[in-house]
Amino acid sequence: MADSFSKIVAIFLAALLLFVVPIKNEFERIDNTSRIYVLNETAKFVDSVRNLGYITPFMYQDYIGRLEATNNIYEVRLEHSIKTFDPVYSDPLDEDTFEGDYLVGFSSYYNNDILPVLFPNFSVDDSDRIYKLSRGDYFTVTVFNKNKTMATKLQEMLYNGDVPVTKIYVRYGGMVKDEAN
Amino acid sequence: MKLTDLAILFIIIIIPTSLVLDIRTKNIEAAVYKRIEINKILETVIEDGVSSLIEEGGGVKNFSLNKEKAIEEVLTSLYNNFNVLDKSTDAIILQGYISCIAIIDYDGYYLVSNQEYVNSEGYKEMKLICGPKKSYSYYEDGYVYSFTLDNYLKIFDSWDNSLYIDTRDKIVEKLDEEGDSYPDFLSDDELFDDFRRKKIIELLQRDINYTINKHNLVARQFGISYYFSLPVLPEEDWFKTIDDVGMIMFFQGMPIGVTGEKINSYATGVTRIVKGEKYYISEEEVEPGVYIKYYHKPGCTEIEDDSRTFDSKKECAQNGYFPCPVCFPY
Repeated sequence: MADSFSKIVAIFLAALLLFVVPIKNEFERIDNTSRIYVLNETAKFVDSVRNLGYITPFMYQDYIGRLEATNNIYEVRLEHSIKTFDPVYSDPLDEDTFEGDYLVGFSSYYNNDILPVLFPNFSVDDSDRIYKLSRGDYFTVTVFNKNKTMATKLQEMLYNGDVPVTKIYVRYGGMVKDEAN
Repeated sequence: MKLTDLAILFIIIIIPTSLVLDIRTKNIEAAVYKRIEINKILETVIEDGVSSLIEEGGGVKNFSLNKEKAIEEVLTSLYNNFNVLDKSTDAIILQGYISCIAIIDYDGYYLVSNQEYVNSEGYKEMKLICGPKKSYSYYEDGYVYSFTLDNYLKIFDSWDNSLYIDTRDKIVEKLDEEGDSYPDFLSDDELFDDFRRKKIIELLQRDINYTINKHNLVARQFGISYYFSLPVLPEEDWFKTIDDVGMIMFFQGMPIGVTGEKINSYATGVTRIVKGEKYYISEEEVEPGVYIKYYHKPGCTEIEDDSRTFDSKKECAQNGYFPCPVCFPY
């Protein structure tokens, strides 16, 4: 009896050590490599947008294509913040009420504002499919994976519980240095 | 052998390879972070350099470049960011990673590179030395064309030794009057712009490539074993570089990881002298007797009078102007 019990334990242990451990290790390493790759590509994309001051459909598609090479599904959030200066009037329709002051604020634009410019629903000239940014604006990209990676699936099976889905999370951004004419 | 023993043996075999791979991944990750960090540093460095490059003269084309101060500023900023002391051994080696700096002026360019020179005490020293100015010139059929960063140019006609200095359209007018023929690229603004950019970029690429290759000899004396060559720059970056007065710096060969990764990077910085930054202002009557003050981007259809401008959005707001709802000068 004790013998058969130890045999079961031995088979279980062996399966764990022979198959599960190396596979789990390998999958986790794939996630790590993907994260490095995504970070690298995101930095490249954001830096070129910041240097050039515009986004073209090609730049965006190229970037998305590179992300897809990791076999994951990503959520890509573009964020474009513009510093605004608004003069302070107590009544904007009356010039005399200008208080000689201004307020500084940010207005931000996201995927829903940026992507329709790059990929419009109606046919427009190619030269109009450029999203322009101005010098001094801020441009940030946040990327994270939406699908469960193989490592996550394996971990869920082993730990029999929920594991956070986001394994790859990259946020990169900065000030725009130049602008399109 | 028991099954468990077999499993344990397997793990013993697999663990070293797995560990080694893990360490390698970590190293690559560290190198990627380092590369991003250094790129940021280079951006800051070149921005510092560009900001001290311009010596104010007032007006659009009335300025002079202080190249020596800009180079000094680049080095100081670089030393600060890498936390090394000026004139220390580390600083000298760091300087050796700069393979070339090109300073783009309005009508020519300068190349800055490491050169050996004998200082006042008679010792040999490595220093970033600025070469002579080279103009954006191009020779064809007896004509020498000297381009600038906008549509202003000089044409020297070696057949009858005449010189034309003006904007493209005015020179064409003059040539038409004299009945001279001129090449196709002069006939149209867009064509001329393309041609001019192409020629300037060709000149720059050839010269920068030569300077970087020459740096291989100098770098050996710094103790740097890296083969320096011109990195591949996307076309847009070349275009941006020659849009306005500015600098481009190549920083190569610095080891950034234990697995032999070396940085191969460049940074560009441009001023806004030729293009300028201007906001046009106007008052619009929204209702009879009610005026709202607006400021516009250049080229907005709502501009009525192009003589009234401000230099920044901040200044516009300070004077009570709203951003125009047509051109969105945010």
